[in-house]
Amino acid sequence: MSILQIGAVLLIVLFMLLGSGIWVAISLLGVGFIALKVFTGTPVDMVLGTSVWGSISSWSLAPLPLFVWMGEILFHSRLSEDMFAGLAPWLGRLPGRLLHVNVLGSGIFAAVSGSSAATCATIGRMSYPELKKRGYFERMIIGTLAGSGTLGLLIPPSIMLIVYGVSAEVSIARLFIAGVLPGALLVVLFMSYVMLWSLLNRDKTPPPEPSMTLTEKLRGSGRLIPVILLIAAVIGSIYAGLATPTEAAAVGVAGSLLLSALTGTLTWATFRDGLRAATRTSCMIGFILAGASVLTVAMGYTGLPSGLAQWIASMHLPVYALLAALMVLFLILGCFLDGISVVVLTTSVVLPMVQAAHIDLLWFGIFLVIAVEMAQVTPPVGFNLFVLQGLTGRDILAIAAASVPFFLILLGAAAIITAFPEIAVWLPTTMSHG
Amino acid sequence: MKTLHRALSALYGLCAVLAAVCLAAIAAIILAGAVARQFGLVVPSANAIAGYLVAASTFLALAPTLRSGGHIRVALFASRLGRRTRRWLEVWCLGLGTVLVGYLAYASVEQVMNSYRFHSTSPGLLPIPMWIPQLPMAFGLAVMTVALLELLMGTLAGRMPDYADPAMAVADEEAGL
Repeated sequence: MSILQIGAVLLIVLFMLLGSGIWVAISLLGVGFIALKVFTGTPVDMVLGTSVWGSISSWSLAPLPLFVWMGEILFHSRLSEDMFAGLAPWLGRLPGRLLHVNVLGSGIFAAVSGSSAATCATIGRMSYPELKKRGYFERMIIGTLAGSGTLGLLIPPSIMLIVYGVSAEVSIARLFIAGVLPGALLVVLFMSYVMLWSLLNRDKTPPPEPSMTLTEKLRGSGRLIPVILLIAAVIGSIYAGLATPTEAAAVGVAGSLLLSALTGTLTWATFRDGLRAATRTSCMIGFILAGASVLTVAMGYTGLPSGLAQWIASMHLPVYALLAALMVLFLILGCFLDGISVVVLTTSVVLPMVQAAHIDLLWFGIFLVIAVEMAQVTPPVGFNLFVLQGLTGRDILAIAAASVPFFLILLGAAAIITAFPEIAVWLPTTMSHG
Repeated sequence: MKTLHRALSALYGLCAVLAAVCLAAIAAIILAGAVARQFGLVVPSANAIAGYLVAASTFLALAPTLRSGGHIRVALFASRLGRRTRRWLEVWCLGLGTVLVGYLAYASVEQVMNSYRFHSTSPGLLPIPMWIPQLPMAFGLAVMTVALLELLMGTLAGRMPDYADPAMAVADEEAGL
């Protein structure tokens, strides 16, 4: 069989396993197993043991469970309430008024949490009922929540960037810093869209809140200061090279425990629940990474990724065409798979192709994560849609429809960082250690 | 049968607790290392130990995460099937899962035995015998195999596995990711 035929067979097997409801991690393991057994002559048990052990016992994976835990602790704290009370007084004068709470709140929470659905749920839990009560247009409330919730994946700390960094062997510290400016760009784009929309739909924006004095505003925002400090400590220390991502994550865990102790939300029950949920989520991700490591090794033995890379290189595609094709592929995969699976499949199969096209792997990580962000708001499988379905009781298709403008903005952002890659790769070059 | 089920549930519970302790220990050892550095001290092999704890936490949590529906799967087609067909699909998933995870468990037990036999140790200041950190992986995978097998037996006997409620799986993913 030729390499491409082998690839086609494995791909069909993978989608059969995934489609029939076999857990993603076990499907990846299964395809890797079959590839090793049928297409290579290696001792499968040895390869399986070493590749799984090597991928999961890695020091570079340590920030993942810690950042997941940090997000869990803050998710159970009063942050949701504080965010609304702290941001709302300042945004009443902008066109679109309190809708900006969703965008900015998500941006801030994204800087302490690495997950999109957690960001969406934390901000939405408080702001959805509040905004609805005040008479904001529901489609926009839902759209802003779904769209800006995805910032959790891009703005550091980001679970998705850790997964990419570990499996593509790119520095996680540099990936984190590379995500900062594209994340800020998205916040600006989302807010601009909200302003533009409200200027065009003045009748759909409720009147401003009664004005508050500066002292009152500052008092409302005071409770956000510890969170801002925590963000500065975590991201700042990575940027300045004072701490590795793992150390920053451990400090972040300690800081968020302190924060929830100070606001009185830290009890034995919340501590235990947060730790339990974090253990479960990291286990789920770690198991997928373990399955993906078997697939990656098996792929290496079959020579499929390098074969694909040569095939693509022989076509002399312009880089833009290749990226456009990959974006389409990511979006199709993203309709059916969760983001982590899309990332690990990409790194197992597509990465040599990307390298052969001389695309910077640091930049590609950001591009890939923006594609995964879009997948969070596309039905039938989009985690932000699921979260908002639970929160609002609306039909998933209605929520997806409300998210369409934000989906298009994400696509635009991917185009912008393709045209101006410096937005992603410039900031990491200014780091003192990398 | 009932006693066996209760014993296994206790085993999964124990694994969940150990996994959570390992996760908390990662934070503790990293913080200890960072604090020690300020005083010019070194926690030996802190990085390597943190990595081993990640592995221990991940693999020990496998079975309890399976029980609570925490492992991601594509439920798109399964959720549309009737109860009867659905049960056979679960048998297929659990059967193949048992075989594959069972084989991985076997491979990792073999790895532990090889590390023990050839006295492999970790690189770094503190030479840790490799079979020690590799043991939780083998144990966790073995417990996962047992959990899959138990669910397979239950499903064959006519009970739907307790993770199989798609609404519950989504709720779990919401909380986690």
